[in-house]
Amino acid sequence: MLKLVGYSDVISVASGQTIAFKVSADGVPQYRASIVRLIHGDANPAGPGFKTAPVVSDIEGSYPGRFQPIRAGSYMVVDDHPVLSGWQDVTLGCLIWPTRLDAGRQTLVAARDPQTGVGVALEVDKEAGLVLVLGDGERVAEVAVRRRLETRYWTAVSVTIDRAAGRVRLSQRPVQGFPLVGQPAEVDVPLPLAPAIPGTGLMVAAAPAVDAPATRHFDGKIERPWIARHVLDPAAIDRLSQPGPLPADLAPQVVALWDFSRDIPGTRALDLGPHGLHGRLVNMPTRAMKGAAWTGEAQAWTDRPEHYGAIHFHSDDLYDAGWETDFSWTVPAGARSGIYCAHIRSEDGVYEDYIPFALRPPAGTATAPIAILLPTASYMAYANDHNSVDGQDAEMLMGRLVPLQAGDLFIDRHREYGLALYDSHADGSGVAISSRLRPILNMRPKYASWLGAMGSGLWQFNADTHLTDWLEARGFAYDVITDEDLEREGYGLLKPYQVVLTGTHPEYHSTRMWDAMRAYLERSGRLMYLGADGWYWRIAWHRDAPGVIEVRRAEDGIRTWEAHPGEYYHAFSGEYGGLWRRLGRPPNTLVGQGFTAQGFDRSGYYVRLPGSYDPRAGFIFDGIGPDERIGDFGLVGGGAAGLELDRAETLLGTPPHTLVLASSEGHTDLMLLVNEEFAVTTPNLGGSQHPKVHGDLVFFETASGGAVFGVGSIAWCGSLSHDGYANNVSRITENVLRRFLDLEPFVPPVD
Amino acid sequence: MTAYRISEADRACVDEFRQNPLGPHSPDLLRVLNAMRGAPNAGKYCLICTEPFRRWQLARMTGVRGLPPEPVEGEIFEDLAAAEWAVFRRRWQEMTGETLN
Repeated sequence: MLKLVGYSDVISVASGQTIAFKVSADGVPQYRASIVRLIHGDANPAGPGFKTAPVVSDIEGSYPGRFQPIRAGSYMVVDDHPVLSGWQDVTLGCLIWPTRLDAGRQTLVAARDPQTGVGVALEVDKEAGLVLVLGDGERVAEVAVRRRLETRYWTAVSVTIDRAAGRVRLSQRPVQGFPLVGQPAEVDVPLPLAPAIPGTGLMVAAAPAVDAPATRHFDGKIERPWIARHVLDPAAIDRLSQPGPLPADLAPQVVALWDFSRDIPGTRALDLGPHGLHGRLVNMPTRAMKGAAWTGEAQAWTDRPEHYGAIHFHSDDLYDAGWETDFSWTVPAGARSGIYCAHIRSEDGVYEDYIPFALRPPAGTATAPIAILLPTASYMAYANDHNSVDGQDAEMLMGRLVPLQAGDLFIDRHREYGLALYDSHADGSGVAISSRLRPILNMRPKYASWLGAMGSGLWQFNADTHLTDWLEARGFAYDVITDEDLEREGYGLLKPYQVVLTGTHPEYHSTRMWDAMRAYLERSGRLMYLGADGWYWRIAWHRDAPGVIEVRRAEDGIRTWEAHPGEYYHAFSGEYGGLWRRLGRPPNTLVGQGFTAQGFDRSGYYVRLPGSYDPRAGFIFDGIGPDERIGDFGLVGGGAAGLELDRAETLLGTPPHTLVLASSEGHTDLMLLVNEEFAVTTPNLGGSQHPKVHGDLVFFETASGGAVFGVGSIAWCGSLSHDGYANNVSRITENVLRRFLDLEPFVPPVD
Repeated sequence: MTAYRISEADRACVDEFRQNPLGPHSPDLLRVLNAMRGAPNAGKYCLICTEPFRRWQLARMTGVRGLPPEPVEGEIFEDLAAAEWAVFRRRWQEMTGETLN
């Protein structure tokens, strides 16, 4: 079991900047820390082996270990304000769409001191329905509606405390009722005790706790919570539940009304009331969710925000682990760019962790002609993926028993470490938001993934170190830059580079990232796309909060959950989500090919096509024989063509002058056509039968003198080191890289 | 219930798996394997890597989030093909009642 884990505040850092490391040590009293440059993270004894280079730094030393917990679960909190305490009469209400009532009592709204029990909390219970918990410091009492609540239906709930009359009234009114179930219910009973209101502020979707920021999290959607310091009649309660502005005649009686349809891209819940008691949303719940008023006439929240007044809170949402910093490193001037790690290890050497980050050149500069654009957004998409234990299909997809690593077992047990964009929340809803402000245990050197095929089993981050290792072995100087840098700086980040190399799986791109790559290629840039399934999903970065992305899995594509109809637009950006292909920008238009098949058992190889003999491609195949199988070897599935494959397709925008140099074969029937490639199911979707199940090597020149070379396979880089780096995958890659480094412009063919 | 049920007719696939546990496999054998591998996670066999690239402990998943897989005592493998065959035999016995040698 892991006892020492950490993360950093930023994912990339340049000379003169500081990166802070946050560590949790579970029963490890002391640990040592150092900085290393990571060269090859693959520990497979069949390959070159694990390689790092030591880095002298002022953080090197011994540090006291301390346990730092993670508190998952999203909620809204409102700081205390004079109008939030000293209530006599009160009416409060909201709309709810519960999703996990089987998990036990959950809090909708709480104004309660967790130390003393003074205050009120409105809760839900599957059988008892709406429950009001009251405390005066000496006693605790409950009033329940005693009518079963229905999961995934909208219910309007409210409570009225009338001190003068000594009554309390709870109402639970389904927005849509059904026979036998979902009938309106209410109770009107003597007030069992007069609760004091503690002046500790207010929480929505959770309750304050003694030893944690929050507890008793609610799973599901909440819309439009409000509070009035008066006894309101049912008609007024109903009007306050309707979307839109705060009714003017009720405004004097209302303390606060939080309209979740306002400023959806932000992290605040705006109060329409007179005191501006805006709520803070903690742990990034999902916004732009359909509310009770949604009709289907609008599909975009930007068109009818009042239809999207709901926030989906999850008890396992996590944005920022919020750990204290244990040590920081200010990068000295002139530091070499690369993938680096803070290496922490227990004094006895039993426990260790590597916290990876990119050391990039200062903004606007390059320290080498080559840049690796590290696909950190895609790392975040897969961050702490639980499908090896949560997904029923993992073993079928892999074609062998699921192998679990220490990191997999740790995140299975520690769900508070947060989820991947491939996971489902505990309530079954898809995970649309992922952050890097937490330890990401599958973004580590030495990590082998269930997705990574037989052999090394590498996927995403660690697989990309096959490329850094090869560059170092072949003597190429390179810089490392990240997706997050590209999002921030746009084309300017890429501009100084003669050649940009992708990682093995650059799948997730925002509009700004996509546009930046387009701009680079339109301005004589040279791109080596050394992976597959690239430029596939659109994402959005958060407007205000660093290090967090959102995906809306709209329409189709390879995905483990689907966005609900009407929820296809990102909350972060207002943009329509889904595949770039469905947005009219297939990856083929950018890099000449697009995702066509996936399979996670073993990899195939390439055979040359006539395009490889075109004089335009002569430099690529220099030293390669006509009948050579290309990449019939490798650490990832035993071949260069595997895991996920891209295919050239002029119908999807592959430029017509693209040379298709080679295509892959040797795929098993576990390598299957991706679902956006067929509209009718046919019985030949596997690799032994379907003509579209193959990866392509492609090359084309751009009008500006640049060029694109693509390998059409995630497994390609896993073959680079074979036979002491003397192999045809290495040779082709080097042939292309050397020509791309040559300033001589490429000239597209003419008739 | 249209999920595939392993029957006497599949006996012919056993030797193919025994000789080549890591595949690729024939369509008939793949159908048997899909029935085994596609089962719900509660009780499903998996491997816990105890020494990278060298040693694996057989375990059964719980199917419950946060509840770790339970090791199968004495079933430690240094060869992935041997682990596959051992699990195939267990599943065959559990699904057909027949013990394979």
